[in-house]
Amino acid sequence: MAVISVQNLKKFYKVHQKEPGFWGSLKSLVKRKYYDVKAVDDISFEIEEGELVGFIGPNGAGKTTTLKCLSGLLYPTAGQVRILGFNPWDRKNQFLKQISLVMGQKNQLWWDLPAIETFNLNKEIYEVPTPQYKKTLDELVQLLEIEDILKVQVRKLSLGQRMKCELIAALLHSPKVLFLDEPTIGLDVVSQKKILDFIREYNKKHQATIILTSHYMGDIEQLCQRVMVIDNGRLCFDGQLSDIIQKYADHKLVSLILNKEVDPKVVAKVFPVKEFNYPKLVLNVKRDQVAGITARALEQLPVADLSIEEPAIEDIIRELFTGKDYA
Amino acid sequence: MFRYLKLYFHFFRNCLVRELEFRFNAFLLSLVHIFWLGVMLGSVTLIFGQVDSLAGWRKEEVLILAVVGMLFHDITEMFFIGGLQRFSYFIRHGEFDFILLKPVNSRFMTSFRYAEFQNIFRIIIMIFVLASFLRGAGISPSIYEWAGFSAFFLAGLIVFYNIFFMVITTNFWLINVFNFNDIFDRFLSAGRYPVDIFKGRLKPFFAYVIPLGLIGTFAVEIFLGRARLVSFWIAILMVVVTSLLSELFWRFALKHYQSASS
Repeated sequence: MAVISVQNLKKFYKVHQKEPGFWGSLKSLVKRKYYDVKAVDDISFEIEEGELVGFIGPNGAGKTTTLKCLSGLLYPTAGQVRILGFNPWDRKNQFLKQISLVMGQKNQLWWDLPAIETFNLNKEIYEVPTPQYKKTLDELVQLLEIEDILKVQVRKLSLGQRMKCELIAALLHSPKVLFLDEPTIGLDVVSQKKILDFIREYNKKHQATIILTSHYMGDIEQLCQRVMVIDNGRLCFDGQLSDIIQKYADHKLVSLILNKEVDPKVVAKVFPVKEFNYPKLVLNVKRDQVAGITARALEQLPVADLSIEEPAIEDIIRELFTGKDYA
Repeated sequence: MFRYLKLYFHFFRNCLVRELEFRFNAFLLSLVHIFWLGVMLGSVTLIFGQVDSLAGWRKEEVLILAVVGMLFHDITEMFFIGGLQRFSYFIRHGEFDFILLKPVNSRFMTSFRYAEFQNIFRIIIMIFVLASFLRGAGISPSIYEWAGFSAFFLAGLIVFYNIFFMVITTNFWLINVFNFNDIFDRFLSAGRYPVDIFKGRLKPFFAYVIPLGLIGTFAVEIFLGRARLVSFWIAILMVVVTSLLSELFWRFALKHYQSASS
Protein backbone atom coordinates (compact mmCIF):
# COMPACT_ATOMS: atom_id res chain seq x y z
CA MET A 1 0.00 0.00 0.00
CA ALA A 2 1.24 3.47 -0.87
CA VAL A 3 2.35 5.57 2.09
CA ILE A 4 1.27 8.75 0.31
CA SER A 5 -1.75 8.74 -1.95
CA VAL A 6 -3.02 11.92 -3.61
CA GLN A 7 -6.12 11.99 -5.81
CA ASN A 8 -7.18 15.05 -7.79
CA LEU A 9 -5.88 17.50 -5.22
CA LYS A 10 -6.85 21.12 -5.80
CA LYS A 11 -6.08 24.20 -3.75
CA PHE A 12 -7.32 27.56 -4.98
CA TYR A 13 -6.81 30.87 -3.18
CA LYS A 14 -8.63 34.14 -3.43
CA VAL A 15 -6.03 36.88 -3.59
CA HIS A 16 -6.69 40.60 -3.72
CA GLN A 17 -4.87 42.78 -6.18
CA LYS A 18 -3.70 46.27 -5.31
CA GLU A 19 -2.49 48.93 -7.68
CA PRO A 20 0.85 50.46 -6.70
CA GLY A 21 1.22 53.65 -4.67
CA PHE A 22 -0.84 55.54 -2.15
CA TRP A 23 -3.82 56.06 -4.49
CA GLY A 24 -3.86 52.33 -5.17
CA SER A 25 -3.93 51.66 -1.43
CA LEU A 26 -6.87 54.06 -0.97
CA LYS A 27 -8.79 52.45 -3.81
CA SER A 28 -8.13 49.01 -2.42
CA LEU A 29 -9.45 50.21 0.94
CA VAL A 30 -12.84 50.99 -0.61
CA LYS A 31 -13.10 48.33 -3.26
CA ARG A 32 -10.91 45.29 -3.55
CA LYS A 33 -10.42 43.24 -6.68
CA TYR A 34 -10.10 39.55 -6.02
CA TYR A 35 -8.92 36.83 -8.32
CA ASP A 36 -8.47 33.09 -7.98
CA VAL A 37 -5.00 31.61 -7.82
CA LYS A 38 -4.87 27.95 -8.76
CA ALA A 39 -1.93 27.02 -6.53
CA VAL A 40 -2.54 23.29 -6.99
CA ASP A 41 -4.73 22.21 -9.85
CA ASP A 42 -5.87 18.61 -9.94
CA ILE A 43 -2.75 16.60 -9.18
CA SER A 44 -2.59 12.88 -8.41
CA PHE A 45 0.30 10.62 -7.44
CA GLU A 46 1.30 7.82 -5.11
CA ILE A 47 4.54 7.27 -3.19
CA GLU A 48 5.65 3.97 -1.70
CA GLU A 49 7.39 3.41 1.61
CA GLY A 50 11.07 4.38 1.62
CA GLU A 51 10.93 6.37 -1.61
CA LEU A 52 12.87 9.63 -1.81
CA VAL A 53 11.09 11.74 -4.40
CA GLY A 54 12.27 15.06 -5.81
CA PHE A 55 9.53 17.65 -6.27
CA ILE A 56 10.65 20.40 -8.62
CA GLY A 57 9.17 23.40 -10.34
CA PRO A 58 9.74 27.14 -10.79
CA ASN A 59 8.85 29.68 -8.10
CA GLY A 60 5.13 29.77 -7.40
CA ALA A 61 4.54 26.44 -9.17
CA GLY A 62 2.67 24.96 -6.19
CA LYS A 63 5.36 22.84 -4.51
CA THR A 64 5.06 24.28 -1.02
CA THR A 65 1.26 24.47 -1.18
CA THR A 66 1.18 20.77 -2.07
CA LEU A 67 3.45 19.90 0.86
CA LYS A 68 1.31 22.01 3.18
CA CYS A 69 -1.81 20.20 2.02
CA LEU A 70 -0.12 16.84 2.55
CA SER A 71 0.97 17.76 6.06
CA GLY A 72 -2.53 18.91 7.02
CA LEU A 73 -1.77 22.63 7.29
CA LEU A 74 -4.07 23.67 4.47
CA TYR A 75 -7.56 22.47 3.71
CA PRO A 76 -7.81 21.62 0.02
CA THR A 77 -10.41 23.02 -2.33
CA ALA A 78 -11.03 19.50 -3.64
CA GLY A 79 -9.44 16.07 -3.79
CA GLN A 80 -8.38 13.31 -1.46
CA VAL A 81 -5.13 12.68 0.35
CA ARG A 82 -4.13 9.73 2.52
CA ILE A 83 -0.82 9.74 4.37
CA LEU A 84 -0.02 6.51 6.26
CA GLY A 85 -3.76 5.81 6.04
CA PHE A 86 -4.70 9.13 7.71
CA ASN A 87 -6.60 12.06 6.33
CA PRO A 88 -4.08 14.89 7.04
CA TRP A 89 -6.76 17.53 7.75
CA ASP A 90 -8.08 15.57 10.69
CA ARG A 91 -4.71 16.42 12.25
CA LYS A 92 -4.87 13.43 14.54
CA ASN A 93 -2.04 13.19 17.03
CA GLN A 94 -1.15 9.71 15.75
CA PHE A 95 -0.68 11.20 12.28
CA LEU A 96 1.27 14.26 13.41
CA LYS A 97 3.63 12.07 15.42
CA GLN A 98 4.64 10.24 12.25
CA ILE A 99 5.32 13.14 9.93
CA SER A 100 7.55 16.17 9.81
CA LEU A 101 7.81 19.25 7.63
CA VAL A 102 11.07 21.15 7.35
CA MET A 103 10.93 24.55 5.71
CA GLY A 104 14.28 26.02 4.76
CA GLN A 105 13.05 29.58 5.18
CA LYS A 106 11.24 29.27 8.48
CA ASN A 107 12.37 28.12 11.84
CA GLN A 108 10.78 26.43 14.78
CA LEU A 109 13.73 26.82 17.14
CA TRP A 110 13.36 29.16 20.12
CA TRP A 111 15.36 32.15 18.97
CA ASP A 112 16.83 33.28 22.31
CA LEU A 113 17.54 29.82 23.68
CA PRO A 114 20.13 27.18 22.80
CA ALA A 115 18.83 24.57 20.33
CA ILE A 116 18.98 21.85 22.98
CA GLU A 117 16.07 23.55 24.80
CA THR A 118 13.85 23.23 21.71
CA PHE A 119 14.94 19.59 21.36
CA ASN A 120 13.97 18.90 24.97
CA LEU A 121 10.62 20.60 24.45
CA ASN A 122 9.95 18.56 21.30
CA LYS A 123 10.72 15.40 23.25
CA GLU A 124 7.81 16.28 25.56
CA ILE A 125 5.52 17.41 22.74
CA TYR A 126 6.04 14.20 20.78
CA GLU A 127 6.17 12.08 23.96
CA VAL A 128 9.45 10.45 22.97
CA PRO A 129 10.64 8.03 25.72
CA THR A 130 13.87 9.28 27.36
CA PRO A 131 16.18 6.39 26.27
CA GLN A 132 14.97 6.66 22.65
CA TYR A 133 15.34 10.43 22.75
CA LYS A 134 18.92 10.22 23.99
CA LYS A 135 19.82 7.62 21.39
CA THR A 136 18.24 9.53 18.50
CA LEU A 137 19.70 12.85 19.61
CA ASP A 138 23.22 11.40 19.94
CA GLU A 139 22.93 9.80 16.53
CA LEU A 140 21.66 12.95 14.81
CA VAL A 141 24.15 15.22 16.56
CA GLN A 142 27.04 12.98 15.49
CA LEU A 143 25.81 12.66 11.92
CA LEU A 144 25.49 16.41 11.52
CA GLU A 145 28.57 17.17 13.65
CA ILE A 146 27.03 19.84 15.86
CA GLU A 147 28.18 18.71 19.33
CA ASP A 148 29.83 22.08 19.99
CA ILE A 149 26.85 24.31 19.15
CA LEU A 150 24.09 22.55 21.07
CA LYS A 151 24.36 24.96 23.97
CA VAL A 152 24.77 28.14 21.91
CA GLN A 153 21.76 30.46 21.55
CA VAL A 154 20.04 29.96 18.20
CA ARG A 155 20.30 33.66 17.28
CA LYS A 156 24.09 33.34 17.42
CA LEU A 157 24.27 30.41 14.97
CA SER A 158 25.10 30.63 11.28
CA LEU A 159 22.43 29.76 8.69
CA GLY A 160 24.00 26.34 8.06
CA GLN A 161 24.25 25.51 11.75
CA ARG A 162 20.67 26.60 12.26
CA MET A 163 19.46 24.40 9.41
CA LYS A 164 21.20 21.41 10.92
CA CYS A 165 19.47 22.13 14.24
CA GLU A 166 16.13 22.53 12.42
CA LEU A 167 16.60 19.10 10.91
CA ILE A 168 17.31 17.57 14.29
CA ALA A 169 14.26 19.27 15.83
CA ALA A 170 12.15 17.83 13.01
CA LEU A 171 13.54 14.31 13.27
CA LEU A 172 13.74 13.66 17.00
CA HIS A 173 10.46 11.77 16.92
CA SER A 174 11.74 9.60 14.03
CA PRO A 175 8.98 10.48 11.53
CA LYS A 176 8.08 7.93 8.88
CA VAL A 177 7.15 10.61 6.38
CA LEU A 178 9.31 13.66 5.87
CA PHE A 179 8.50 16.73 3.78
CA LEU A 180 11.60 18.78 3.06
CA ASP A 181 10.90 22.17 1.52
CA GLU A 182 14.16 23.62 0.24
CA PRO A 183 16.30 22.47 3.15
CA THR A 184 19.54 23.67 1.51
CA ILE A 185 18.43 27.17 0.53
CA GLY A 186 21.10 29.78 1.17
CA LEU A 187 23.70 27.26 2.39
CA ASP A 188 27.31 27.10 1.27
CA VAL A 189 28.49 24.03 -0.66
CA VAL A 190 30.01 22.33 2.37
CA SER A 191 26.85 22.64 4.47
CA GLN A 192 24.74 21.68 1.45
CA LYS A 193 26.66 18.46 1.00
CA LYS A 194 26.47 17.65 4.69
CA ILE A 195 22.70 18.09 4.72
CA LEU A 196 22.24 16.03 1.53
CA ASP A 197 24.43 13.20 2.85
CA PHE A 198 22.41 13.26 6.00
CA ILE A 199 19.06 13.06 4.19
CA ARG A 200 20.32 10.11 2.13
CA GLU A 201 21.55 8.35 5.27
CA TYR A 202 18.30 8.99 7.13
CA ASN A 203 16.23 7.68 4.23
CA LYS A 204 18.34 4.52 3.99
CA LYS A 205 18.51 3.82 7.69
CA HIS A 206 14.89 4.49 8.65
CA GLN A 207 13.18 3.57 5.38
CA ALA A 208 11.53 6.98 5.68
CA THR A 209 9.37 8.23 2.83
CA ILE A 210 10.67 11.63 1.79
CA ILE A 211 9.50 14.36 -0.57
CA LEU A 212 12.23 16.91 -1.26
CA THR A 213 11.76 20.23 -3.00
CA SER A 214 14.77 22.23 -4.04
CA HIS A 215 15.77 24.88 -6.53
CA TYR A 216 19.17 23.26 -6.81
CA MET A 217 18.94 20.48 -9.35
CA GLY A 218 22.18 19.14 -7.89
CA ASP A 219 20.27 18.25 -4.70
CA ILE A 220 17.67 16.33 -6.65
CA GLU A 221 20.23 14.60 -8.87
CA GLN A 222 22.25 13.44 -5.91
CA LEU A 223 19.34 12.08 -3.89
CA CYS A 224 16.34 11.20 -5.99
CA GLN A 225 15.69 8.61 -8.63
CA ARG A 226 12.10 9.64 -9.05
CA VAL A 227 11.07 13.22 -9.69
CA MET A 228 7.78 15.01 -10.02
CA VAL A 229 7.71 18.25 -11.99
CA ILE A 230 4.99 20.78 -11.18
CA ASP A 231 4.24 24.01 -12.98
CA ASN A 232 1.23 26.34 -12.64
CA GLY A 233 -0.20 23.92 -10.12
CA ARG A 234 -0.27 21.00 -12.54
CA LEU A 235 1.89 17.91 -12.43
CA CYS A 236 3.65 17.78 -15.79
CA PHE A 237 6.07 14.92 -15.20
CA ASP A 238 6.25 12.03 -12.75
CA GLY A 239 8.89 9.39 -13.32
CA GLN A 240 12.54 8.44 -13.20
CA LEU A 241 15.00 11.30 -13.40
CA SER A 242 16.72 9.56 -16.30
CA ASP A 243 13.40 9.54 -18.21
CA ILE A 244 13.34 13.34 -18.16
CA ILE A 245 16.48 13.28 -20.24
CA GLN A 246 15.01 10.75 -22.65
CA LYS A 247 11.71 12.57 -22.88
CA TYR A 248 12.72 16.21 -23.02
CA ALA A 249 16.34 16.26 -24.23
CA ASP A 250 16.27 15.68 -27.94
CA HIS A 251 19.87 16.89 -28.20
CA LYS A 252 23.26 15.61 -27.11
CA LEU A 253 26.40 17.60 -26.48
CA VAL A 254 29.44 16.73 -28.58
CA SER A 255 32.55 18.22 -26.96
CA LEU A 256 35.69 18.54 -29.04
CA ILE A 257 39.20 19.59 -28.00
CA LEU A 258 41.00 21.08 -31.00
CA ASN A 259 44.76 21.05 -31.46
CA LYS A 260 44.85 23.92 -33.97
CA GLU A 261 42.95 27.21 -34.13
CA VAL A 262 40.12 27.51 -36.67
CA ASP A 263 37.91 30.44 -37.66
CA PRO A 264 34.83 30.36 -35.38
CA LYS A 265 32.65 31.93 -38.10
CA VAL A 266 33.49 29.17 -40.54
CA VAL A 267 32.82 26.47 -37.93
CA ALA A 268 29.48 28.06 -37.03
CA LYS A 269 28.38 27.92 -40.65
CA VAL A 270 29.00 24.18 -40.89
CA PHE A 271 28.31 22.87 -37.38
CA PRO A 272 25.58 23.53 -34.73
CA VAL A 273 27.87 25.34 -32.29
CA LYS A 274 26.71 25.74 -28.70
CA GLU A 275 29.89 27.37 -27.41
CA PHE A 276 33.42 27.84 -28.67
CA ASN A 277 36.33 28.77 -26.44
CA TYR A 278 39.49 27.55 -28.11
CA PRO A 279 40.54 24.82 -27.71
CA LYS A 280 37.10 23.63 -26.53
CA LEU A 281 34.23 23.46 -29.01
CA VAL A 282 30.80 22.22 -27.93
CA LEU A 283 28.20 21.19 -30.51
CA ASN A 284 24.50 20.86 -29.74
CA VAL A 285 23.46 17.95 -31.94
CA LYS A 286 20.06 16.30 -32.49
CA ARG A 287 20.09 12.73 -31.25
CA ASP A 288 19.53 11.18 -34.70
CA GLN A 289 22.36 13.24 -36.21
CA VAL A 290 25.04 12.51 -33.61
CA ALA A 291 26.86 9.81 -35.61
CA GLY A 292 26.90 11.78 -38.86
CA ILE A 293 27.96 15.13 -37.43
CA THR A 294 30.61 13.54 -35.19
CA ALA A 295 32.11 11.72 -38.17
CA ARG A 296 32.11 14.95 -40.21
CA ALA A 297 33.75 16.90 -37.35
CA LEU A 298 36.51 14.30 -37.07
CA GLU A 299 37.07 14.56 -40.77
CA GLN A 300 36.98 18.37 -41.17
CA LEU A 301 38.35 19.71 -37.86
CA PRO A 302 41.73 19.25 -36.13
CA VAL A 303 40.31 17.17 -33.26
CA ALA A 304 42.62 16.07 -30.42
CA ASP A 305 39.91 14.65 -28.16
CA LEU A 306 36.16 14.04 -28.30
CA SER A 307 33.33 13.16 -25.91
CA ILE A 308 29.55 12.81 -26.29
CA GLU A 309 27.40 13.76 -23.28
CA GLU A 310 23.80 14.13 -22.26
CA PRO A 311 22.91 17.76 -21.53
CA ALA A 312 22.95 18.81 -17.86
CA ILE A 313 19.66 17.99 -16.15
CA GLU A 314 19.55 21.57 -14.88
CA ASP A 315 19.60 22.85 -18.49
CA ILE A 316 16.83 20.47 -19.49
CA ILE A 317 14.62 21.57 -16.63
CA ARG A 318 15.32 25.22 -17.35
CA GLU A 319 14.39 24.76 -20.99
CA LEU A 320 11.36 22.77 -19.94
CA PHE A 321 10.08 25.59 -17.74
CA THR A 322 10.96 28.27 -20.25
CA GLY A 323 9.53 26.49 -23.28
CA LYS A 324 6.49 25.18 -21.35
CA ASP A 325 6.10 22.32 -23.80
CA TYR A 326 5.17 19.33 -21.70
CA ALA A 327 3.78 17.21 -24.50
CA MET B 1 -4.56 16.64 31.51
CA PHE B 2 -1.31 15.61 33.21
CA ARG B 3 0.44 15.73 29.84
CA TYR B 4 -0.68 19.31 29.30
CA LEU B 5 0.39 20.35 32.78
CA LYS B 6 3.79 18.83 32.08
CA LEU B 7 3.96 20.64 28.74
CA TYR B 8 2.97 23.89 30.37
CA PHE B 9 5.73 23.41 32.89
CA HIS B 10 8.20 23.06 29.99
CA PHE B 11 6.87 26.18 28.22
CA PHE B 12 7.13 28.06 31.47
CA ARG B 13 10.64 26.79 32.10
CA ASN B 14 11.79 27.82 28.62
CA CYS B 15 10.31 31.28 29.08
CA LEU B 16 12.03 31.60 32.43
CA VAL B 17 15.38 30.60 30.92
CA ARG B 18 14.83 33.10 28.11
CA GLU B 19 13.95 35.93 30.47
CA LEU B 20 16.95 35.23 32.65
CA GLU B 21 18.97 36.12 29.58
CA PHE B 22 17.54 39.60 29.88
CA ARG B 23 17.63 40.12 33.65
CA PHE B 24 17.86 43.89 33.46
CA ASN B 25 14.70 44.01 31.34
CA ALA B 26 12.71 42.18 34.04
CA PHE B 27 14.06 44.54 36.71
CA LEU B 28 13.21 47.62 34.65
CA LEU B 29 9.70 46.44 33.88
CA SER B 30 9.05 45.83 37.57
CA LEU B 31 10.16 49.40 38.33
CA VAL B 32 7.86 50.80 35.63
CA HIS B 33 5.02 48.73 37.03
CA ILE B 34 5.53 50.11 40.55
CA PHE B 35 5.42 53.59 39.04
CA TRP B 36 2.05 52.83 37.35
CA LEU B 37 0.73 51.38 40.58
CA GLY B 38 1.59 54.71 42.22
CA VAL B 39 -0.17 56.62 39.42
CA MET B 40 -3.26 54.43 39.77
CA LEU B 41 -3.48 54.82 43.53
CA GLY B 42 -2.73 58.53 43.18
CA SER B 43 -5.65 58.99 40.75
CA VAL B 44 -8.02 57.21 43.16
CA THR B 45 -6.83 59.50 45.97
CA LEU B 46 -7.37 62.52 43.70
CA ILE B 47 -10.97 61.46 42.97
CA PHE B 48 -11.67 61.03 46.65
CA GLY B 49 -10.29 64.51 47.30
CA GLN B 50 -13.46 65.72 45.55
CA VAL B 51 -16.08 63.16 46.61
CA ASP B 52 -16.74 61.02 49.68
CA SER B 53 -17.89 57.95 47.82
CA LEU B 54 -17.94 56.60 44.29
CA ALA B 55 -21.29 55.02 43.40
CA GLY B 56 -21.57 53.90 47.02
CA TRP B 57 -17.95 52.69 47.30
CA ARG B 58 -15.67 54.17 49.96
CA LYS B 59 -12.08 55.17 49.17
CA GLU B 60 -10.46 52.13 50.83
CA GLU B 61 -12.90 49.85 48.94
CA VAL B 62 -12.05 51.42 45.58
CA LEU B 63 -8.34 51.10 46.40
CA ILE B 64 -8.81 47.37 47.03
CA LEU B 65 -10.67 47.06 43.73
CA ALA B 66 -7.93 48.98 41.89
CA VAL B 67 -5.28 46.61 43.23
CA VAL B 68 -7.37 43.55 42.34
CA GLY B 69 -7.79 45.00 38.82
CA MET B 70 -4.03 45.40 38.47
CA LEU B 71 -3.46 41.90 39.81
CA PHE B 72 -5.94 40.64 37.21
CA HIS B 73 -3.97 42.45 34.51
CA ASP B 74 -0.63 41.05 35.67
CA ILE B 75 -1.94 37.49 35.77
CA THR B 76 -3.37 37.72 32.24
CA GLU B 77 -0.03 39.09 31.03
CA MET B 78 1.88 36.36 32.74
CA PHE B 79 -0.16 33.43 31.50
CA PHE B 80 -1.67 34.15 28.11
CA ILE B 81 -1.32 37.69 26.77
CA GLY B 82 2.27 37.02 25.65
CA GLY B 83 1.20 34.12 23.44
CA LEU B 84 -1.88 35.86 22.08
CA GLN B 85 0.11 39.01 21.28
CA ARG B 86 2.51 37.01 19.14
CA PHE B 87 -0.28 35.32 17.21
CA SER B 88 -0.61 38.03 14.57
CA TYR B 89 3.13 37.78 13.86
CA PHE B 90 2.94 34.00 13.61
CA ILE B 91 0.10 34.20 11.11
CA ARG B 92 1.80 36.85 8.98
CA HIS B 93 5.10 35.03 8.89
CA GLY B 94 3.67 31.53 8.58
CA GLU B 95 5.22 30.33 11.84
CA PHE B 96 1.80 29.19 12.95
CA ASP B 97 2.56 26.21 10.67
CA PHE B 98 4.83 24.80 13.35
CA ILE B 99 2.09 25.03 15.95
CA LEU B 100 -0.37 23.19 13.72
CA LEU B 101 2.17 20.48 12.97
CA LYS B 102 2.60 19.54 16.61
CA PRO B 103 0.57 16.69 18.12
CA VAL B 104 -0.78 19.05 20.77
CA ASN B 105 -4.01 21.03 20.96
CA SER B 106 -3.31 24.05 18.74
CA ARG B 107 -5.29 26.42 20.94
CA PHE B 108 -3.27 25.41 23.96
CA MET B 109 0.00 25.94 22.08
CA THR B 110 -1.12 29.32 20.74
CA SER B 111 -2.26 30.62 24.10
CA PHE B 112 0.21 29.26 26.59
CA ARG B 113 3.52 28.77 24.81
CA TYR B 114 4.85 32.11 25.96
CA ALA B 115 4.56 32.94 29.63
CA GLU B 116 5.85 36.35 30.66
CA PHE B 117 7.66 35.25 33.75
CA GLN B 118 8.81 38.72 34.72
CA ASN B 119 5.23 39.39 35.91
CA ILE B 120 5.79 37.08 38.87
CA PHE B 121 7.57 39.89 40.75
CA ARG B 122 4.68 42.25 40.03
CA ILE B 123 2.12 39.66 41.12
CA ILE B 124 3.93 39.11 44.42
CA ILE B 125 4.06 42.88 44.98
CA MET B 126 0.33 43.21 44.21
CA ILE B 127 -0.60 40.41 46.61
CA PHE B 128 1.29 42.16 49.41
CA VAL B 129 -0.34 45.49 48.56
CA LEU B 130 -3.79 43.83 48.50
CA ALA B 131 -3.22 42.20 51.90
CA SER B 132 -2.09 45.52 53.34
CA PHE B 133 -5.11 47.42 51.90
CA LEU B 134 -7.50 44.78 53.24
CA ARG B 135 -5.94 45.18 56.69
CA GLY B 136 -6.11 48.96 56.33
CA ALA B 137 -9.84 48.75 55.56
CA GLY B 138 -10.39 46.50 58.57
CA ILE B 139 -11.39 43.54 56.41
CA SER B 140 -10.20 40.07 57.35
CA PRO B 141 -11.89 37.62 54.94
CA SER B 142 -12.79 34.11 56.06
CA ILE B 143 -11.56 31.11 54.11
CA TYR B 144 -15.00 30.88 52.41
CA GLU B 145 -14.78 34.48 51.33
CA TRP B 146 -11.30 33.87 49.92
CA ALA B 147 -12.68 30.83 48.05
CA GLY B 148 -15.59 32.88 46.66
CA PHE B 149 -13.23 35.71 45.68
CA SER B 150 -10.89 33.23 43.93
CA ALA B 151 -13.80 31.59 42.08
CA PHE B 152 -15.02 34.94 40.72
CA PHE B 153 -11.48 36.00 39.91
CA LEU B 154 -10.85 32.75 38.01
CA ALA B 155 -14.18 33.04 36.17
CA GLY B 156 -13.16 36.57 35.13
CA LEU B 157 -9.82 35.32 33.83
CA ILE B 158 -11.49 32.54 31.82
CA VAL B 159 -14.09 34.88 30.32
CA PHE B 160 -11.53 37.50 29.33
CA TYR B 161 -9.21 34.89 27.94
CA ASN B 162 -12.06 33.51 25.81
CA ILE B 163 -13.15 36.95 24.59
CA PHE B 164 -9.67 38.01 23.57
CA PHE B 165 -8.94 34.64 22.11
CA MET B 166 -11.92 35.21 19.81
CA VAL B 167 -10.54 38.64 18.91
CA ILE B 168 -7.12 37.28 17.95
CA THR B 169 -8.75 34.43 16.02
CA THR B 170 -9.92 37.03 13.49
CA ASN B 171 -6.25 37.24 12.47
CA PHE B 172 -6.91 34.26 10.22
CA TRP B 173 -8.78 36.63 7.93
CA LEU B 174 -7.57 40.08 8.92
CA ILE B 175 -3.91 38.98 9.29
CA ASN B 176 -2.92 41.98 11.33
CA VAL B 177 -5.07 42.63 14.37
CA PHE B 178 -2.04 43.85 16.19
CA ASN B 179 -3.39 46.56 18.45
CA PHE B 180 -5.83 44.40 20.29
CA ASN B 181 -3.65 44.73 23.36
CA ASP B 182 -4.55 48.44 23.56
CA ILE B 183 -8.26 47.58 23.58
CA PHE B 184 -7.57 44.96 26.19
CA ASP B 185 -5.74 47.52 28.36
CA ARG B 186 -8.67 49.94 28.11
CA PHE B 187 -11.09 47.25 29.29
CA LEU B 188 -8.87 46.30 32.17
CA SER B 189 -8.41 49.92 33.20
CA ALA B 190 -12.17 50.43 33.21
CA GLY B 191 -12.58 47.25 35.27
CA ARG B 192 -10.53 48.76 38.09
CA TYR B 193 -13.52 50.93 39.03
CA PRO B 194 -16.83 49.65 40.44
CA VAL B 195 -19.34 48.79 37.71
CA ASP B 196 -21.91 50.74 39.76
CA ILE B 197 -20.47 53.93 38.24
CA PHE B 198 -22.41 53.05 35.08
CA LYS B 199 -26.01 54.17 35.34
CA GLY B 200 -29.28 53.12 33.72
CA ARG B 201 -29.18 50.77 30.73
CA LEU B 202 -25.40 51.02 30.48
CA LYS B 203 -24.87 49.28 33.79
CA PRO B 204 -26.02 45.75 32.86
CA PHE B 205 -24.21 46.12 29.54
CA PHE B 206 -20.84 47.01 31.07
CA ALA B 207 -21.27 44.82 34.12
CA TYR B 208 -22.38 41.64 32.43
CA VAL B 209 -22.14 41.81 28.65
CA ILE B 210 -18.65 43.29 28.23
CA PRO B 211 -18.24 42.10 31.26
CA LEU B 212 -16.21 44.54 33.30
CA GLY B 213 -17.77 43.34 36.57
CA LEU B 214 -15.85 40.09 36.29
CA ILE B 215 -12.51 41.89 36.38
CA GLY B 216 -12.80 42.81 40.00
CA THR B 217 -16.09 44.28 41.18
CA PHE B 218 -17.92 40.95 41.73
CA ALA B 219 -14.93 39.34 43.42
CA VAL B 220 -14.25 42.30 45.74
CA GLU B 221 -17.95 42.52 46.68
CA ILE B 222 -17.52 39.18 48.42
CA PHE B 223 -14.93 40.75 50.73
CA LEU B 224 -17.26 43.66 51.33
CA GLY B 225 -20.24 41.41 52.15
CA ARG B 226 -22.24 42.76 49.19
CA ALA B 227 -22.11 39.74 46.87
CA ARG B 228 -25.01 39.53 44.39
CA LEU B 229 -26.57 36.21 43.40
CA VAL B 230 -27.09 37.47 39.85
CA SER B 231 -23.33 37.98 39.51
CA PHE B 232 -22.77 34.32 40.35
CA TRP B 233 -25.17 33.09 37.64
CA ILE B 234 -23.83 35.56 35.10
CA ALA B 235 -20.27 34.40 35.81
CA ILE B 236 -21.19 30.75 35.21
CA LEU B 237 -23.16 31.59 32.09
CA MET B 238 -20.35 33.72 30.66
CA VAL B 239 -17.73 31.04 31.33
CA VAL B 240 -19.80 28.39 29.54
CA VAL B 241 -20.94 30.57 26.62
CA THR B 242 -17.57 32.20 25.88
CA SER B 243 -15.71 28.87 26.20
CA LEU B 244 -18.05 27.24 23.74
CA LEU B 245 -18.13 30.13 21.28
CA SER B 246 -14.38 30.67 21.26
CA GLU B 247 -13.71 26.96 20.67
CA LEU B 248 -16.23 26.74 17.81
CA PHE B 249 -14.86 29.93 16.25
CA TRP B 250 -11.29 28.62 16.51
CA ARG B 251 -12.18 25.32 14.80
CA PHE B 252 -13.99 27.19 12.05
CA ALA B 253 -11.05 29.56 11.59
CA LEU B 254 -8.48 26.76 11.33
CA LYS B 255 -10.19 25.60 8.17
CA HIS B 256 -9.51 29.01 6.65
CA TYR B 257 -5.84 29.16 7.50
CA GLN B 258 -3.88 30.05 4.37
CA SER B 259 -0.37 29.99 5.81
CA ALA B 260 2.25 32.42 4.47
CA SER B 261 4.20 31.86 1.32
CA SER B 262 7.67 30.36 1.60
